[in-house]
Amino acid sequence: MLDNVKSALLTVMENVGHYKPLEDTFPRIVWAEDVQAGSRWADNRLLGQVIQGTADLFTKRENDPLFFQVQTAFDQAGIPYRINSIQYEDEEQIFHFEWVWETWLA
Amino acid sequence: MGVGNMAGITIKGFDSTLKNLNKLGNQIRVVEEEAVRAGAALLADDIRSRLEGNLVGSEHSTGDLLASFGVTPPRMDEKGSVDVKIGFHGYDRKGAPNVVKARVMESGSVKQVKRPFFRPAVTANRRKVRDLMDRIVHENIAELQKED
Repeated sequence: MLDNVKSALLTVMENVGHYKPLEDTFPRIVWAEDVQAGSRWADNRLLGQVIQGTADLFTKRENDPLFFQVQTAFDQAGIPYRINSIQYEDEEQIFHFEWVWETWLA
Repeated sequence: MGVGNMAGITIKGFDSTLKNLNKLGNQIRVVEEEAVRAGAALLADDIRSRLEGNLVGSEHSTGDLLASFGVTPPRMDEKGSVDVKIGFHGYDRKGAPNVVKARVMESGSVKQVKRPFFRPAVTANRRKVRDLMDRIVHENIAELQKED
């Protein structure tokens, strides 16, 4: 359904999970769709829907180049994105980057 | 060199326009606040509803997070924009900041799968809120102009 998002993230690493982690190792990416962000109608028919969702990178490495690799992957796939939050989870010593992306539902 | 006939235009109805603008000048803050309050209420209702959905069936929910959710009264900032804040305040009964709990639910963590409720509500209601505020402003302006 949103194969372009999945494919883009898989160019960064293999440990990419949908809604939940694929493997409990680091680094890892988890992505999920959660809301319709727009739509296009004509002649009383729905022609297309824009879906919004998130991608989260969890890494133990400070200044991890994976951060830029995720953004490059989105750029190359033509998927608009923005950083929604950056957090340091101190108990687990994990850097957590969260992006919001949008794409047409194919 | 003499003064010839000069071109000129006559603007009619300018007095009433000025009068309306003056009247709006006094009332615009009230109208803005009403529109912002209504838009915020519409959005807050959906955020609350999505949050309640996330909490259904939770063994750990005490109700503290939901109770801490609210909307501030409208306030004008230094640039003259009227706005409100929608969010969480205070601490739960264990001393954890409610805003942090909300953030973890929204964005997830290594230990907790995310359950976004705030951003999706904003995205889903952006147009509805804008249309509602727009309608309130236009209706109020029309009403003020009728009072002549």
